[in-house]
Amino acid sequence: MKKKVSQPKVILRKKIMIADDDPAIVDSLTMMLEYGGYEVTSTLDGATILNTKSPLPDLLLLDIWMSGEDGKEICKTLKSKKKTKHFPIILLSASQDIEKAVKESGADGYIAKPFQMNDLFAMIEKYTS
Amino acid sequence: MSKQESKLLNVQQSATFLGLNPATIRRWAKTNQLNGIKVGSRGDWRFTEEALSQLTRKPSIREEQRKFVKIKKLITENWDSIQKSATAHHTYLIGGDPLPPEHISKYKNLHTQMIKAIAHNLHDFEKGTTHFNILGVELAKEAVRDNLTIEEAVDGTIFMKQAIWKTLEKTGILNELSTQDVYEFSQIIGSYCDILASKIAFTYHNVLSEKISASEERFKALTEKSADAIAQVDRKGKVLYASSSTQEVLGYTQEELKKLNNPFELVPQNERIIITKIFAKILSKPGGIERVKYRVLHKGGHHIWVESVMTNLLSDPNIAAVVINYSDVTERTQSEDALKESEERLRIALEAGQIGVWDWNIQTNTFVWSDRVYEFYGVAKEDFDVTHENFSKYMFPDDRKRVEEAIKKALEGSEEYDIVSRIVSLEGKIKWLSSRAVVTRDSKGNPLRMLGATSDVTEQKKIEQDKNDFVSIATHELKTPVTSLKAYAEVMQKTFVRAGDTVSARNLGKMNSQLDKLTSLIGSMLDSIKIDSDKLLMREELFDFDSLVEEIVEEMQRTTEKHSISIRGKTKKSIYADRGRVGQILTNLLSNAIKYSPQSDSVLVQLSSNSKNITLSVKDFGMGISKKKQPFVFERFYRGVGPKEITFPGLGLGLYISREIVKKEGGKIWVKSIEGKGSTFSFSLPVKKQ
Repeated sequence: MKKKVSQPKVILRKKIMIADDDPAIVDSLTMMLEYGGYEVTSTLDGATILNTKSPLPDLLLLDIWMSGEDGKEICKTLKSKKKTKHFPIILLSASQDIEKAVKESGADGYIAKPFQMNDLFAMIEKYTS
Repeated sequence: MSKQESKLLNVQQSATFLGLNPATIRRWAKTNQLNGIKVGSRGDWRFTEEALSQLTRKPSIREEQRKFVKIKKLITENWDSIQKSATAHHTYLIGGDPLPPEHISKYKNLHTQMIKAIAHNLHDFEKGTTHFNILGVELAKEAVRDNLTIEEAVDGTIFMKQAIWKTLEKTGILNELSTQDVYEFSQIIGSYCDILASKIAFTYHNVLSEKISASEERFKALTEKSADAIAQVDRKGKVLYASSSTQEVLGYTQEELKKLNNPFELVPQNERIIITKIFAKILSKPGGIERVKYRVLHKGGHHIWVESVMTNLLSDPNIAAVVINYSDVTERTQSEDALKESEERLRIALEAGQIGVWDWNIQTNTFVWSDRVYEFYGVAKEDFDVTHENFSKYMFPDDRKRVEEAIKKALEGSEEYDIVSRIVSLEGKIKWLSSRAVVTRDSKGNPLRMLGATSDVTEQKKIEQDKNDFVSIATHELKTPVTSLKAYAEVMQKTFVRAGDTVSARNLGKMNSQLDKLTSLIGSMLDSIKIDSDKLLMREELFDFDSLVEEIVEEMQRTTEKHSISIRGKTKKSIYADRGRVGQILTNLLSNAIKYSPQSDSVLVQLSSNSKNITLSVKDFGMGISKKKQPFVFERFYRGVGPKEITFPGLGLGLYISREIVKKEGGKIWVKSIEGKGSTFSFSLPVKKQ
């Protein structure tokens, strides 16, 4: 899949899904990612991802301090299913010390809130290229 | 009625019954460990035999009984050296001339009998008193037969008291006893020696008076030597004779005392009633002896405490008086009172503070717990045998190793015992206990005892935990809006740049860096909480130290337009540590250097290394820190204050967090500074192998 993203208007934009229970985070991240040329979908309830029938996006940004279902558990479940095993997941957290949680959940990477835009984009590119 | 009363034992009798120190009986009665009733106006304790018998099941009773056995054994075993010491003192008293050899052997006999009598009757005061009265008669007879003077015979008892005490001190056993116990033993031994002295003197004088010439003079000489002063009074209490030393003690001359109708007028009203009663009792018993302590009005207008021995020698044709010899014990009484008062204060403080105390005798491996400690564990005093093995079971598993380690270090003497740990009480409650203890040692440094105080800090721990949880949640919650703000600001900045609106773009850039500052403040608060609850985790990795320094310096350079930060030297090392945390230290040091040197324009970062450590120094040319304040800069919440009391922004956490990180990484951090010239903060870290 070597598609060059020279033009942001190209139809094959990368699809990113945001799962965070805070609407302000969902809104601002959506804006940021769209500015970066990504196609964004979002959910405030992470558990819906587990039952979704629609095709998977290219990457999931998953908050791990979501009220209700813990993002860590969602990640674990996704990583344990054959269909979603290779689906890239980046955990989002307001805590720095989530190395252990990342390892346990099997996520590909993590980024601590608040972050620099460039750092987020770099990480997304790393796992979607 | 008489049947019921005959079953009641007083403190002394109870002590004998159980083979204990009377002080222990009194203490147990006061703390309700022993049921008793108070009788009479003075509120003397009485106990039933049943109540006492129940105590024999008490584990700590063995410890108490052991004290008597031990002292008894020590006295018996050491009678030879006690006797030698007594004899030596005796020699000293009579002017330093060596005693004739035949006297030494006579003393040996006399002293040996005394020592053994004291040892055998240590725990039974009633039996002891009878025994010593009999022994007194025998010794007096022996002294006469051996041609000892009455002074020599009686002085022997005084030196005996000192000799026994000195020997006990030398063995170190007194260090193992409580102040109250030591006091009580000294009273028992002292009383026996005094009874003996009185009895010897009395027998010598009364029974064998025909053999003594000028007995009155001798008797006076004797009593004046062993007590501070002596007086003889008639049956009505009128003073017939008062020794010249009376004036030194009471301030009155013999003549002034003789003018008094009754010398007991000098005793305060309420004590006078008791004294008068005792005096009446003496009068009814020819030859009777009473010891009594009371206050007397000194001629100077103040009261002094005297302890006196009254002997009824009215029937003695040579004396025909009640002989009262007495000593000024004001100082002793006051210190006894002070001791009782301070012990009482301590008891109140311990109870009010809900503090339990414990005593571990390391030599015998036995424990004594106060009631409160049993309460902490939720175990019944009667059912719980305090052994290390038994209470270890109640330790919270995760804390066991830490507690054992702390005990080990305290016994070695390498660290004070001061620990907060959890137990699971019998009823299944998790409790936080805070314990501190001291270790007493013998002259060789071997640990003898560990004395500790423990309090339940579960409630405080819970409050502390709630506070930490709150701050932790609050900081996380603060980060969420900052994340959103930052996202909008960054995108807007980029949009303005693209649109060519440089002014708006620059403003948004400034806004962005303020948001970064806010993020780092929130981070500091979180770190401080983590340090508090020991949750500051290190993510160790191998990284190139010099490139980290370059990265941070570049980042910090962007925050200042005035200062230029330059790097001198290189470490040329990769170290194994938490890269982010180490970078945080440098960020803290650099932002301080910039903050506290507003008048200067440069900051130096110096790097060096050897095979074991890398060292980094940040040097500024600012206001500096006075010598007096330097020791406190790494403390939490310390904030620098500039000239004219200018304050600087910040939480006072940067250096504190830096120190904690350095500590976790096994390094060192320090400061050198000259006030007005600038400061150099340095840290070194070990080059750890993976």
